[in-house]
Amino acid sequence: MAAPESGDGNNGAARMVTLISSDNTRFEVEAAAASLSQTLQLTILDGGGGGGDGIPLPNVDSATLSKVLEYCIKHAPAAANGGAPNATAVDRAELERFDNEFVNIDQSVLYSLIMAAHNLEIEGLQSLVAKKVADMIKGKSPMEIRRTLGFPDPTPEEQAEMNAHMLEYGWAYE
Amino acid sequence: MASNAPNIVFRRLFKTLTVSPALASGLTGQLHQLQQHAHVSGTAKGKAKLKSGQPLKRSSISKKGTPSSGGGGGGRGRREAIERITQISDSCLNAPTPLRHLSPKERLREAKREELGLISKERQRELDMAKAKAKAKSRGTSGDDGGRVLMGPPGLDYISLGLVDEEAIPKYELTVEDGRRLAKEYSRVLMRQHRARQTAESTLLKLKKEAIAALPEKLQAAALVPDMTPFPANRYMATRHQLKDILKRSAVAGSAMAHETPPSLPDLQAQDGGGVMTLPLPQDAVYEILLRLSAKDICRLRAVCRPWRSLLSDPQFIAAHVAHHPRPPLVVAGYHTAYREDGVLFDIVDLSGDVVRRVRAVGDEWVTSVNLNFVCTAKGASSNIRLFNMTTGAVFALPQGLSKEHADDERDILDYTSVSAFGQVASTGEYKVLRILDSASFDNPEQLCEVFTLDGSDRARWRGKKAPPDPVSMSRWKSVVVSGIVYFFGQDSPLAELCSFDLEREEWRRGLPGPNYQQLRTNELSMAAVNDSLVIVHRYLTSYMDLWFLMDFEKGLWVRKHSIRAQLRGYSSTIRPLLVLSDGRIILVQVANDSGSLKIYNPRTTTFTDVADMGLCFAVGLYSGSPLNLTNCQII
Repeated sequence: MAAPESGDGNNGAARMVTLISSDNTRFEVEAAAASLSQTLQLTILDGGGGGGDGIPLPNVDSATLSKVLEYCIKHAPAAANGGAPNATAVDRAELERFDNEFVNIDQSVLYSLIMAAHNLEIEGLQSLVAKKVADMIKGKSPMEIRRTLGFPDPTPEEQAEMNAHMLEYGWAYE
Repeated sequence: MASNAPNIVFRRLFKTLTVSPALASGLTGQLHQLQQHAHVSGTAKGKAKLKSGQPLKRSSISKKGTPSSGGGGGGRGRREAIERITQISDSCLNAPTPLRHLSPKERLREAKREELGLISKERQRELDMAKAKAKAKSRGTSGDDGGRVLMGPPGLDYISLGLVDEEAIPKYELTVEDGRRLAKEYSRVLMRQHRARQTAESTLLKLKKEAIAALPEKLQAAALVPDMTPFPANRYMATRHQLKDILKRSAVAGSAMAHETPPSLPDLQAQDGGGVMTLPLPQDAVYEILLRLSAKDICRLRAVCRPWRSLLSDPQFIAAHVAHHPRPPLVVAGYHTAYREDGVLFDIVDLSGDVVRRVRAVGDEWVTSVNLNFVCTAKGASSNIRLFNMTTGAVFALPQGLSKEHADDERDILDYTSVSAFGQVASTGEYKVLRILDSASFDNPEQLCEVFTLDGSDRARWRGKKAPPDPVSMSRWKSVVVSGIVYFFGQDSPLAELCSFDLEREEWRRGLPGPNYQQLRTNELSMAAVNDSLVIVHRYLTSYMDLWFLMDFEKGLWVRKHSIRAQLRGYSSTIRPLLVLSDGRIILVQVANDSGSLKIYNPRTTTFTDVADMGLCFAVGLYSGSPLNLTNCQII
């Protein structure tokens, strides 16, 4: 998929656009998939991204972009159907399985994905990663969360604050 | 905070005990002695030996050698010689031992007597011998040492070593009285110290108990196991390097929460080492994540770090969170602190029975009603009303005393019992409090009616209004506020007509006939506000209940919307319905003489589910806000 060729063929049904990552790798995808991004949608509708020029994305590196496009390509058909009202249960289950698999990734990748989803404004991906992070946080103690997020060990003062909070809000710790 | 008071006491004690440094070393021995005799009981040991009738001698520690034994002059007569010989032989026969053996108790007693200025002959001799020895020793070093006081152990004289200024040593002249007084005073000091320590200890214990009680049950068990580990092994001293690191990190975390501008990406990835994710995310993304978490999770997250706490306590965030997570309101159970050992004034409980917030009060105070996210309490007397805003934590004490209109004929407010009702005028949004004062005496049968408007000004005062047309019931569960109207049962015939007071127009409305009362076998009636309607709860047979909703005041139209057909234990208990959920389940509180329990009635299965035991409730109500909204205020 990471084909660095410059496609000038918008012939056929699928119109292709070229996206250029921060490290100058070129990605060619269907316009429908790229249009999942609110940021890109307008540019694409304007007819940009075709031909040899491509759309530069200085905020997204190639590894992240390939991941993002993987999501877009998978979700593009369902999105084209307008929220997939007539999608079969099998399709939906398949998408769900894909989503679960998709976010089952290293934290640093997940982090860049959040940033990319945010910059490119891909709604579905945004909520998908948000859900993933929320699941990571859910049910954890403040200490575990600090570790998960790589915070330094709390100072004694902070520790005291945390303990006080736990005493005060016992209901939240059950 | 509570430990401050004992601290101050200790400090004061130390103050009384502090002596000038020059004296300190010399005095320690004396202090020690004092400690020994002046027992905490206050009775100086050996006191009985002092005969009360005798005049008290002023005696001082004699400093000079033995008084001269007279004689020496005159001729050397035979008689004298004989006398001298007998004297010598006598002294030889009765010679005291140079070393006296004393039991520790005797020694102690002697020391005390000496302290009081009573020195026995033997002791005097001992002292003289010691002095003579010291004199002989220090003869070469210092010329003048006639009446010098010895300080310190023999051979290590503090004065000659220059450690103690001789001039600064006070000269004590003590009478027995002085000694007794000193003993008493010191015993008092000790007693005070002892009491202070005891109170400090009991406060600590109490605090600990409370802290453990506040813990969830699972943690409680763990907290009760004493922690015997000597020292936290993972504690470290913060080095400068670490501090810098922490500051940097918290600044990063803080900026992510506080600023909307997303930090630039390459920067972040440089920091992002070892696969751990730091969280400098754009605020939208953070919001997106946080809004997916439950209130419980959010509450815990507040403890993670300070920037998170401020973000998660932000009213805007809470509002957004509530919109994402619609949930039934919380139940407020109001108590009387005099009936509770823990001083809890009210609990806010969620429908799974967890106590989300517990507020205590100092002194006698009880909750009279809960309405519109306010808790209305009475402190000390039923007419002394306080309002507690559950959302902001603000407490507002309404003025005491009667209104100007009612103060004329010298009536004392303490002669009255009072019921109060707190409501909001729909059209203006003003909050008002209505109180009915009842003297319950035959001379003065009229009830007084007063209104107070909370307009935020300090000029606000109680304003006397017309008395209710018929005396209204002063009981706890017999009045309620629904959308700016206060409803009361009548005092004499609860069913004949309901009295109601319009908070907006501040006047009594005409009587409202109760629901079809021929049919009501009047076992028990109580009022409630359920889903913004006035409801009369009619309980009959053992525990069947009908909930009559007032549909139209003008027409006097009542509809029996819900009927509860399930046995409830406790015949004499009061049922206070709070809310009918959209699925038809009814949240209610059953209050018996000494207990209260939160229940949910399911009409489909006609069963009650017990949610929580709440103890003796004095008032119950709802809190419609989010648990995240609840203020930190724990004591009012």
